[in-house]
Amino acid sequence: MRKVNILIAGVGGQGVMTIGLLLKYAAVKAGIMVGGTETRGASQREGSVNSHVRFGVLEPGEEYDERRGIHASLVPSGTADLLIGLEPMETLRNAKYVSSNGVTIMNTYEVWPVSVRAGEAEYPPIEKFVEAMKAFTPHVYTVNVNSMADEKYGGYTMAGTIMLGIAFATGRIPLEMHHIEETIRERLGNPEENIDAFHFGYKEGKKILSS
Amino acid sequence: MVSDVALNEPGKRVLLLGNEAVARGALEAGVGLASGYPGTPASEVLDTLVEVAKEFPGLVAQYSTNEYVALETAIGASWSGVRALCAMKMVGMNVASDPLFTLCYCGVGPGGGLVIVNGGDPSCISSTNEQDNRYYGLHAHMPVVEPSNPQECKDFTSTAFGISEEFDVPVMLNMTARTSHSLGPVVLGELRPPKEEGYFVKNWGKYFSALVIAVSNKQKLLRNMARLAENYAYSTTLNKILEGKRRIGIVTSGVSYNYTLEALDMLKLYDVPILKLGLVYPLSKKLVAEFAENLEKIVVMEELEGFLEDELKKIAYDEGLSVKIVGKELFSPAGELSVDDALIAYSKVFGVEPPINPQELALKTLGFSSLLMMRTPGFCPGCSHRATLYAIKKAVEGKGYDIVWGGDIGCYANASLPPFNMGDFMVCMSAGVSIASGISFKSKKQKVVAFIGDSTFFHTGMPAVLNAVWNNADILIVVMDNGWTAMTGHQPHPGTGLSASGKAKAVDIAEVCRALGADYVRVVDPFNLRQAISVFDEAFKRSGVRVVVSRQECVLQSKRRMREIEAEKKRKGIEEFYEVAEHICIFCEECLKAFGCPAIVVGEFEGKKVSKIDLGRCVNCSVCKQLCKGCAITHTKIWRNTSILEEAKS
Repeated sequence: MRKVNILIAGVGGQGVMTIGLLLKYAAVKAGIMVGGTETRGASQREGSVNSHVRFGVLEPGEEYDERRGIHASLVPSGTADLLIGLEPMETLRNAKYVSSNGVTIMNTYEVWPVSVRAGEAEYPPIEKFVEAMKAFTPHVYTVNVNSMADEKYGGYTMAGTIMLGIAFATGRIPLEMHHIEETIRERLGNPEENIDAFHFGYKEGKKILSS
Repeated sequence: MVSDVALNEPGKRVLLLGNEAVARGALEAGVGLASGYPGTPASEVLDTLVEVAKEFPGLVAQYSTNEYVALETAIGASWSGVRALCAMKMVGMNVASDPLFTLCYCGVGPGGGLVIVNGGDPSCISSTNEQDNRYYGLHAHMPVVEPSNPQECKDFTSTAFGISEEFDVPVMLNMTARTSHSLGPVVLGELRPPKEEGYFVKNWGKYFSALVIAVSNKQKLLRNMARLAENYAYSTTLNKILEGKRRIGIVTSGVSYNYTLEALDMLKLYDVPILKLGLVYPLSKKLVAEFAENLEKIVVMEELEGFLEDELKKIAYDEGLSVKIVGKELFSPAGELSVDDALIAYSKVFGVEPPINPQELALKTLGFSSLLMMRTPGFCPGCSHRATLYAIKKAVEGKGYDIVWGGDIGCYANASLPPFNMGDFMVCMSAGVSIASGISFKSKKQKVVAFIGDSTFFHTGMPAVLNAVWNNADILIVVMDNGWTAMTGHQPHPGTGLSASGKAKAVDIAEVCRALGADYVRVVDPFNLRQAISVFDEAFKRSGVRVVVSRQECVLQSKRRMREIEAEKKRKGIEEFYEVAEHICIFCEECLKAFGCPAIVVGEFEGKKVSKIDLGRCVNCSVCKQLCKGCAITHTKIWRNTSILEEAKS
């Protein structure tokens, strides 16, 4: 069984849980094995959050074997094929999960911890995070989905869905586009705008990945 | 998803959380009463049953005031011949342990299987310790069942009701935060309608546990457990063996089984014999002996204590097995385990190089720790707790008091963190009040404060307050009354005016405190700073038991309602907000640092730093305006006739 691991990281309220759930429900539609969990460090109170998504894809002709299946809900260290980081610091906090050949998409929009907001500390420059991430995988891409969302839709609400589109463009998610579209339609409020944002993210993602 | 839990579509594959799957399993077993007290990670079991209860006439699902009351309620249903489920987090089991031991002696009612769901918390993600409640099974002579994924959560719950009835004993379903909060596919089974009407069949010799009855009850219990261990534990499908020809075998259960399989897959070891236990207490000697027959060594992977390891060693000694048994020398008893732990241990045990070195990766991340700032938890924008703490801080400022701050369980535990640093200890539900009392009896020079939440007050706080009054403690009790059991997901409590089934009597905490004999009881609105500060000032100057109830609804709940009100206001053309008049702000940082509201950030005005209100997060609580030293924070309310403006536009 081919195991595909995806980790989504960010701060409570950014849509980490929503992206994780969409991927899991879409996998049920696609008929592949799925598992996962969310770790919440006081998510409502601006803590670090991440969502672990695990897919199991049977190769053609392969029969299910329990010993080779998906069981753990947590992604093992060094095995994530895709790290979707909605915030720079939270992306790096979860760096140990990404595989040496994994893709990292990092949103450069900063969510400041209390100490930075209070002027007691400075948020490190983005380049430092990119450099640090490159110690784990060479495939690190940066994007500011918040400003993309703000420009196109006015406000940050669509940022998470745009990020999902970009992530899908990496080709690391073993699902068809329609699985995700159908799931968005069933599970999210304002589905038309979300599907539009997903497509927009996908197109932008293709550009970012080829640059 | 909760809505999938009630689906009457046997055979359908849905995605459920572990806790939701337990609720589904109970519904498939025809549960007639569900009780419990909220507590992470177990809360969603009862929350789910409460939510779907209206679709199952005959199912009574209710929140109780605490865990022992919850278990006693479940016992009543069981003894009336109705299947009952009781859910709690692992420390709640300590509270429920009083009825538990005798319940095991008495057993359950005819057709009234009783399942206790225990939510364990390895790594103490939301608890004050990580106790291993499998020992309650050993101690109370109670079977313990442990699922490892959502499908098993559902299936094992149904099975547990059957075990309970067949062996006349309650059964514990042992979950951990990871099993509770993992999402996975579940194939639904048949729903069984709950028994609508029960009947208590008198049986004095069974239920009136004392003296000889208690002893003979215990003998009956021991016989039943022996029968369970000998026969059922051997043949049950809760346990399974994965065959393999290696001489080193693995015994495991729950999430550790998942980690074992994944690690062995990474190490390409597919021939290791594995005994996966679903019934973790009692164990079958015969099963263990058969599994160990050709083995030189057994590795036991389990979270927390070496419970299975010890049970296996007992059996090995009794059965004269020569197999070497190791467990806790490979896996730490502290903290949650993971695939990484399994990978490290098994690569050592089997002498296989791992494809990934988790320790190296963790070290590499550590190398960048200077870039990773702590995101300390704090109070939400507009949280009443922040205002209460600020008011107290102002009331004692410059007075030279030596104050001990007693903490308790709830969101207000964040009081111990900056900027307040008002939490010197935290132990268990309502311990804040009683420990504070104890300090006040022996440390006369210090002023002692005890914080307690509203739900905690009803849980076990009342006897603590009564004891303080009775023994004349010298303490200030501050009840952080936000109207809900907020931290665990806003379940109602006796002061809310709601029960699980709808409207209920609302009990006033201040009235209760007066009835408990407290002479000094005051209610303050923390959003009215001047009033709150003056009351706290007075309360600190007095002696004896003083109670201040600081009352203001949890902002997450009021915000939900405000959303509609705000939309309505917008429609009517009313715009309301708070902002900093930048040219007046002297940047004294009182709002920013001493109060520390996350909706206040640092801005810039004409080259100097100023405070700025993030309008996207501000909920108009008004407290920053009240505390602003330079009167720089303004409240704006603009009225406009929007309909005329709209018409004019078109």
